[in-house]
Amino acid sequence: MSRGCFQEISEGPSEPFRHSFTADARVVLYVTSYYGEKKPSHISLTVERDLPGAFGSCVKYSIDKDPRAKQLCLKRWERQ
Amino acid sequence: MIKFTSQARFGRNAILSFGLVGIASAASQMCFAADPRCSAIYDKLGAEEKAAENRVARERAAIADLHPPRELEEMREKYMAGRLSPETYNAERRKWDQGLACINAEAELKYWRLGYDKEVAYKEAGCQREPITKHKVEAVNERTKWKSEACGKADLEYLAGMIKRLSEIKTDKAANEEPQTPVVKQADPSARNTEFCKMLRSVADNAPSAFKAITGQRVDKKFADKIAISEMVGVDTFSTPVALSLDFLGTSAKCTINIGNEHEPNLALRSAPNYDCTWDYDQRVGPASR
Repeated sequence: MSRGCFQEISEGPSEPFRHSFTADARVVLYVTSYYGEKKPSHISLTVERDLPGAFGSCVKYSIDKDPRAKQLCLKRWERQ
Repeated sequence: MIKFTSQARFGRNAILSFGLVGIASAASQMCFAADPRCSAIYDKLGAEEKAAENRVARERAAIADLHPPRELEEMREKYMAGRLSPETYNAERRKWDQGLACINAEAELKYWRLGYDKEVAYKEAGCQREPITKHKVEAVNERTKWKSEACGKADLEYLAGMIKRLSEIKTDKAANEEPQTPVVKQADPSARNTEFCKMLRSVADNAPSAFKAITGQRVDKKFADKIAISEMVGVDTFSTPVALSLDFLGTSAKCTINIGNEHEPNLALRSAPNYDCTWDYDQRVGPASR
């Protein structure tokens, strides 16, 4: 449904009830639906900035305090 | 520029946000990255849990459609008209109420068992060293107790009738259910100019820039109507302008803006800015999970 809203999408791993994809190479969307009665009983949609490897860098920085990892990690909160 | 009309959350640990789901799964994958068997088990259990969650959602949808039988309605009318004693009506009404309490308590227990059973299976497979998460054990124990209390009071014969009716409703619903939407690999451009898409794109445009202009009153969300979430996980919630709407659902979304709290020193725990919306279509029993 939300895929059609964007020009370009690249698919994330597909699961039975959860779809995730990167839209227009800038944001990551996760959509989860649970089916109850004819329609989905529950839908949740999350929009996040697309920053490949940033979360991994935060974990890396919290373990080994590598300043380069910190730099990439902090991009998650950087305002454009 | 979009105006946000919902809520902003400043999360220190963001246990209730998707951020944590990411952290939790990443953490477990980190710990057991050396064991591909555990990784496969984790994925399999996750898929099973999703399927079970859907069964619970279907059951709840069926319970919402379980209405008092015609006989009870007729008795109520007679009682209102003064042609039936309150004792007779109340005795019949009590059977219904107690039966429904038992059915609801069981559905609630099934819901809380989802995550618990998954963790137990993961531990039994030798993939988890830590004991089962304390709050999960407590939640399941408490709801098991509630269920046995509620069902202990119920009139068994009457309850059996209600359960039979419930399974008929479930069968009927399953027969009329639309199939799950398949994974669409291609974007459908026909939707691009709908109101939903326009809103979603402006949310997406704003998502990267950390939702600067958040103003509004602080909202203290409660978990299980008791514990303030901010106390539990250090998440502060603020109301602010927002919402995406999906017309066909006939229900409006609860949308949240989540911004990592700069006071959280551990960057791996600080949640990244995101925007999330939840649509609940059915009547959920008990506190919503996410």
